[in-house]
Amino acid sequence: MSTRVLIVEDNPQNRYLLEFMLHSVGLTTLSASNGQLGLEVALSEQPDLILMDIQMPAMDGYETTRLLKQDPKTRDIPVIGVSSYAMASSRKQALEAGMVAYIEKPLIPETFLSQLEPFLP
Amino acid sequence: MPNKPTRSLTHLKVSLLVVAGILILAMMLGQIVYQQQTLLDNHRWVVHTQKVQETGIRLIKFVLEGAASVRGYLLTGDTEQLDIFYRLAIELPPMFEQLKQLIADNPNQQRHLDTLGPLLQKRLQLNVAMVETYASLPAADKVRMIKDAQMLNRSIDETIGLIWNEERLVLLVREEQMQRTARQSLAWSIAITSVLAAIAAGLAWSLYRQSRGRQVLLGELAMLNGELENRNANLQAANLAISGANRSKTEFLSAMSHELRTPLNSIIGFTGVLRMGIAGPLNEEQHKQLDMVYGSSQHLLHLINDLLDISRIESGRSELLAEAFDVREVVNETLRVVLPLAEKKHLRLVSTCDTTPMPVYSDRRKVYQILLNLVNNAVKFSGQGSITVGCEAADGYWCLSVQDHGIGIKQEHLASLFEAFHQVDGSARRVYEGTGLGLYLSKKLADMLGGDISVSSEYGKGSRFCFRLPQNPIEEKTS
Repeated sequence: MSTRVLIVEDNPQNRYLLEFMLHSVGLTTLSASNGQLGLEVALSEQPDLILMDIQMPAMDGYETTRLLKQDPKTRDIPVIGVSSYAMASSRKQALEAGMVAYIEKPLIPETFLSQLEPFLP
Repeated sequence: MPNKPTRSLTHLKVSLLVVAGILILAMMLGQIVYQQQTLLDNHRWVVHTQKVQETGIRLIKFVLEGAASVRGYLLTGDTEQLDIFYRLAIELPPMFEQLKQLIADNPNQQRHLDTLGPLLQKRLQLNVAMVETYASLPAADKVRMIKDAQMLNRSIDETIGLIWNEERLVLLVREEQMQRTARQSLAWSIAITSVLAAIAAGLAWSLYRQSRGRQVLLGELAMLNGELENRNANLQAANLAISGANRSKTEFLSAMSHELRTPLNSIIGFTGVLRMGIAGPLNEEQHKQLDMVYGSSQHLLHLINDLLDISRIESGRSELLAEAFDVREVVNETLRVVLPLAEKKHLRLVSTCDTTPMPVYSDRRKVYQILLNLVNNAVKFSGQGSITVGCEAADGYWCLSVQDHGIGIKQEHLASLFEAFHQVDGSARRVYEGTGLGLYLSKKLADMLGGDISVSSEYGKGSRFCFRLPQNPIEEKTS
């Protein structure tokens, strides 16, 4: 079974960009358009990696990650923040919430995939 | 405000008034004391005159009583009648002496006394002669003797009358003098009272005017105070509004830059993916056009980043992350990043910073941002030649200089160089693409780091920017 990456992102274009880039290197993607859905999919599908947007309606990426880390069934799935929040404090907050890395938008296609590599099985 | 001169003038006026008043009062008091003295003297003289007159009357009365006593004795032969005769003989000389002393100062009276003295002497002798010899004298002698006595009495009476008259005259003169002095004294008293009243009135007027002036000033002051309070209130309201507006602006910029990044993410992302050929091969024209989209989106990204940085600095939300590093590493990193662009323009990048270590304790990212901006600008505005990055130590600072041989800056544009959205002219702007925020942001960052940026330039020959960074070696900070 190929490696599966869950994309939690509310913007359809950005979601599609991520899906396209991941597909181009043969990864399988799952998608959720908000934090609540992301929690459900993560629990039911047990992906290998989660790419988490920060600013989303209803439940933001910080809160979603905190809940993922509280649940023993999803606790061990690595979460990488992907956000257009460019403040140093955002990165700190992300790491505090339990994310393993934080990638600022806009993404650079040439280097993006290599940033994910360390967290793939 | 004419307050001070008026006050000192009033002071002077009041002082002069007081001094003049005191002088006049002293003069007048002296005059009054003198007049009172004169009045008293005159009174003493009047009393003296009355005493002289009284003494004269007593004297003549005494003489006549003595004569009567002798006559009584001669008629009755009763020696008891001689009582006053004896007393007269003893008491008359001292009485005369008293009178003499009383009128010793008056030459006229002196003359009268010269007459009176012998007359009294004679009268006393006649008295003795009558008591001792009268009974044995013949009748003719008796008559003569009595006539003599009568004559003597009359002479004495007349002389004393003269003395009395003289004193009366003197008394008249002295009374007149006394009245005159009294009148003068009254006049002086009225005058002094008037002057005092005038001074009092003057002081009262002056005080009234002062208090009026003070009231006017107090009124003005109260009005000014009111205005000031109003202005303060307005200023406070304005300040609140401004800080509110500033906060909203910063929040707006921050939110805006985030919102702009989201669509920009897919633009840059898809452009990158397409250029990489992941979605299939592109022909030459498509590639060229895609490169332009890529360049424009990168420009937009820089603009948004600069805006975000500025809004952070202006709102005081920019954080300093200090760490120890060597400035040469940052210089080399900058040169590495800019090198491709410089090579494309056939420019040489030269660094003279390699020899000595340059330890510093500062915000590495911000130092890099400043240096990158300066070197990028130098490359952007140069058409040929070399760009030299130099490092020097001066007065506790590292001075990082970036020298180019580009278009240079006109003298009149140097002052506004570090303002936002200021590129020296529109044509340059079109040729040399940039955000217009670079130098403004660099200056703000340099300020944050405790340093500064200065520039010297010659139009058409090139520019030299100098970024001064405080050295603050690690040992000082960590100890």
